[in-house]
Amino acid sequence: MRHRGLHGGGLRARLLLSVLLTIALVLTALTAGFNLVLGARLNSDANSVLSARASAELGALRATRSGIELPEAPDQGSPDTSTWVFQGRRLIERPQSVAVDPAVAAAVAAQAPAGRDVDGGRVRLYSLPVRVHVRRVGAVVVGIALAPYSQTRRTALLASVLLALAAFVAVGLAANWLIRGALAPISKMTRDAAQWSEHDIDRRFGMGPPRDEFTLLAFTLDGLLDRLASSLRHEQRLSAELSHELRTPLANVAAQAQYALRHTEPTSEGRQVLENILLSTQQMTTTLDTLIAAARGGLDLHGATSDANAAVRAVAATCRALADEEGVEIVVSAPPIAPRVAVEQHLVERVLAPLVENGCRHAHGRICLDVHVHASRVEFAVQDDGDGIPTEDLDRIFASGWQGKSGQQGSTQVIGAGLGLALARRLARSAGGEVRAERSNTGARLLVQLPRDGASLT
Amino acid sequence: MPARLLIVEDDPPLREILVRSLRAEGFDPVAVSTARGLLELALQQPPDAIVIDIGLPDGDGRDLCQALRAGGIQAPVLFLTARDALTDRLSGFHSGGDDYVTKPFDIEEVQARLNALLRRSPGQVKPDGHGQLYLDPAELTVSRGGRSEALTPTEFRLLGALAGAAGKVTSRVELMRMAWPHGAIVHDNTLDVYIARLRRKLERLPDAPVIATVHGVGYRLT
Repeated sequence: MRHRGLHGGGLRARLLLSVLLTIALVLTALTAGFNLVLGARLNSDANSVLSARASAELGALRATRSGIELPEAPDQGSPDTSTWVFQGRRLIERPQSVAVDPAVAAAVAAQAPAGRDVDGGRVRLYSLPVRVHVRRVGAVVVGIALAPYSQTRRTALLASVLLALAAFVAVGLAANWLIRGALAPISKMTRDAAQWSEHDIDRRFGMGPPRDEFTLLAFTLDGLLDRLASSLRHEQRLSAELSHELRTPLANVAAQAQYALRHTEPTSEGRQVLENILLSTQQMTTTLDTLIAAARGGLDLHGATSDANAAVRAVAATCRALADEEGVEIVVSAPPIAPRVAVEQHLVERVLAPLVENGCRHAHGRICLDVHVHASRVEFAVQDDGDGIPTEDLDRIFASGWQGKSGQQGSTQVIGAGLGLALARRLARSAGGEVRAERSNTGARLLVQLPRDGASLT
Repeated sequence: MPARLLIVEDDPPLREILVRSLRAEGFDPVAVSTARGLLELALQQPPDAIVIDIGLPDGDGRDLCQALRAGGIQAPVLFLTARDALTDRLSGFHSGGDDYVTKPFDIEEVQARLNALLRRSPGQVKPDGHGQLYLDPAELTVSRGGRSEALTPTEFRLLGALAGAAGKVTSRVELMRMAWPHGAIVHDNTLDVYIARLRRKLERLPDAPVIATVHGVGYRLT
């Protein structure tokens, strides 16, 4: 249960990104809408100012059949507005300081009533006709400078964009804080559950019945831990019971045979039978120990590791007696830096021992034990100089109960603590490894592969 | 005079061959099949050494050992165990056992270990019975003066540890080690809670000893 490359940021980053995107869209739409409405509003304001001004100017004139009379004291108006008065096509009044070409004002006057932006959009002109009854005698043209309006528009645009940016940053920070706060319990619970499952299988969150997402998660994790603990306990109880149930009758058989050997006077044949019984109980004990060890090893969550060279040397030492008896020399060649396997040492030894014992019985004079390191595994080779294994039997020798022809490689009829090749293969597989036989021109070659420590996780 | 052995083993053939083999080796063995049977025999006449099978039909051999110690039996105890995991072996020692052999065993080894235990043993001491508590490993009860109180397995082991110390102080660490499985995480106040419960149960027994606190060290039964 190791976190690889996950720092609790995956979901948080995605949530934050979607919040930020939504906020950005909303703020952009709001800012754009605000500025459009403001623009339209300013435009209509300018128009109504012009129209009111023009009506006022028109009302101040006195138009008769003979001509247009200007007011005695002409209205100065606001500094931003200016007025032209045309009688027919003749300009009779003009503003003092306005940069608008009178010809342009005359053109607008000719189309009265009309409006137009002139001087590059800096001034808006609006004209109304001067009538006497229905006859048109002239026109009033009113101009307004648009600079204040565009100034207002620019200021509003800048302010609204700045405001939107500030809101975006504020919402982003708040969202990040909220999401981090909301997700923190999840990463803590995940870490706790992983740690408890390894070191403290009886710890629970104990938050009661689920009320929300967190208590539901705690409830679910508690359930998982319960099931893990109960299956661990079940396995441990099973192996303990199995061990107990088998060891007591074994103890009985051994004690009976020992008693008969020591306190009765058996014939030499009877003595041989009793000794064979004792030998068998020893074999059964070793097998039992191995199976229990394998069961416990399978339950080991801490990932025991061991030194491959040490295991090979230990096996060579254990098998020395048998090798001497058979007149065989065991040669160990191990790499200078001892590789580590992700399996307990006694399990490595129990996998290797049957192979070496098998070699001892079939070698003519020498067994080579080699250790090779590969990227993800460590390989142990057991090579003898015997007659070798027939090609068709290369895999069959690992079948449980395989009985080779008399004296053939892989025969499971072994004397001593040999457990047979079938058990060796099963043990290796339970540890994530493999045992196989390889064709060889110079005798039998059996290979054991076990996972290398640290290699399988990367 | 041959050493008097008490043996408890529930498997009849194994019990029978143990008795026969040990008798042939010069011991005086008596075998029973239940924890309670052994406790009664031992309290009647304390043996020189005791052989206990850990897995018994009416209780755990380790609880029986504690009950023996609580009853004042100091004879050495050899466990026969079919479980050889470290935790099982440690709990055997924590309950007051002196040695163990794993099944299947060599009868010569059993004999050799028994002889070694007997050499080191102070010899038979008849328990005086004063202030004693009777712990029943089969029923998990504590009795005194005709009244008894039921105990949980942890309370039983805790009381067994205190009673087996014969009035000496037992440290808190030692008590935790004896009453809880190897590797269990026990908080200080958990132990206090258990001691308080035991005190209440002992109060209900007539003329029973009390658990005294020895500050900074542990507890003592007085």
